[in-house]
Amino acid sequence: MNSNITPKPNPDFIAEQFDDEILLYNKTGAQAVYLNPPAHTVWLLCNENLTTGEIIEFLQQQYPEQREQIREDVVSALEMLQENKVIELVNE
Amino acid sequence: MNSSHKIYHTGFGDQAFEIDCNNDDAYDLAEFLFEDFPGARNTQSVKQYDIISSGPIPMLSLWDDDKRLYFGESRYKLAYILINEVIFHSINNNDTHHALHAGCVCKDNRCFILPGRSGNGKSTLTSWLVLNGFQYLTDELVFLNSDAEVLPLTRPISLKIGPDHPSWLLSGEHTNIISSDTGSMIPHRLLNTEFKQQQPKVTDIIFPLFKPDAKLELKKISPAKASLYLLQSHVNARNLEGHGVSEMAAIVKQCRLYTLSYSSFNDLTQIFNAESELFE
Repeated sequence: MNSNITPKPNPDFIAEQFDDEILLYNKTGAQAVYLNPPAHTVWLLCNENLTTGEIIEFLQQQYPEQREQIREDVVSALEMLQENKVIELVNE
Repeated sequence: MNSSHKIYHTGFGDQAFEIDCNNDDAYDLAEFLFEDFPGARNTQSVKQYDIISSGPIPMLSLWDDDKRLYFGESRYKLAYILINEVIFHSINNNDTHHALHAGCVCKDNRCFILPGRSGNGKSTLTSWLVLNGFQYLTDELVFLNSDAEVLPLTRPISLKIGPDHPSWLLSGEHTNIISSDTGSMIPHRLLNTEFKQQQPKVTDIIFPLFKPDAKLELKKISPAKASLYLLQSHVNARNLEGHGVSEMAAIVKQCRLYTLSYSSFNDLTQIFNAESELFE
C-alpha cells in the first residue's frame, strides 16, 4: 500500500463505543462493522487526516517493540475498512 | 348469522387483532394459536381476519377483508399463514420496542434469549430446552423495551418437521398437535406443563449455531460482537431512532453473552444443567 495515500472516513457511519471495541453502523441501518481494538485505533487515526505512512509511523513510535508487526496490522485494518466502505483511500 | 359466530380478540405490542370466527371449530383454531398471547397494550390499530370453517370434514378459509389468504383442509397451513400475518403486523409499525427474531426461555430467575434468523433451528433448540425443564416464552419473536424487559410472542411451538421425523422430540401420540407434510405446531404445555405468563428482564443472550460436525462450545463474547450479531436478528430497526443501536447496546452491556456451537441434543445437557456456568 502506498504510504502517501490518505484514508478518508465515510461520514455515513456512526460509532457505538464498547470499552476498547467499536461497532460502526451506517445511517440507513443496512450495514454494521465490528472493529477490534487494533482496527479501532487505526479508524480513530483515519479521522486525523493522516496519510497511511504517517499512521504507521505514529503507531511505531507509540509501540516500538511491535514495530515490525505494525505495518502489516495497519495495512490489514485499512483494507478491511475500505472493503466495508467505512473509509475511502485517496491519493492526494 | 350462525349462532356460534364469535370474535376472538388478541394482540401483541401495540397491535390488536380481531379474528372473526364463523363457528366453534374456527374459534378453537384461533384459541389454539393465541391462547397465551399477552394482548395489545396501547392499541393503535386493530387488524381483522376471518376464519370460516364449513362441512363435516371442515374446509377452511382465511380472509383479510375480501382477500382470501388460504382455502383448503389443512389446519396447519391456515394456522401458519395467520400467525405469520399477525407477526408481520405486530412488527411492521412498531416503534416502541426492539423486535428480535429469537427464542426465549427462563429458569431460576434467569431469562435466556436465543437470537437467530428463520430456519437456523431456534424452535428446535427452544423445544429441547422446554422439554428439559426451562419455561417456554417463545420460539420466534421477542420484543424488548429499553429496560430490557421481554415481551414474548407466546405461540404454539412451530417446527418444520412432523411426528415421523427422526429428530421429533415428543414421545407418544398427541391429538392436539397440528401437523402437515411441511411442519407442525405443538402446544408448548405438551413439552412442559409449567407455564406462567411473564415479562422478565433478559439476563443472558446466547447465539446458537447448530452444525452436524460442530464441537460443543459455549464461548463468552464481547458486547460489541454480540451487538453486531443481534443486529442481524433485529427486525424493526428501521422504525427506531438511530436504528435502535445505542439502546440495544445498553441492553447488551447488562447481559451475559455467549455463542453456542453444538451438533446434537445429547451435547446440550453438558451446557444447560444446574452445575454449568450459566447458573453460577
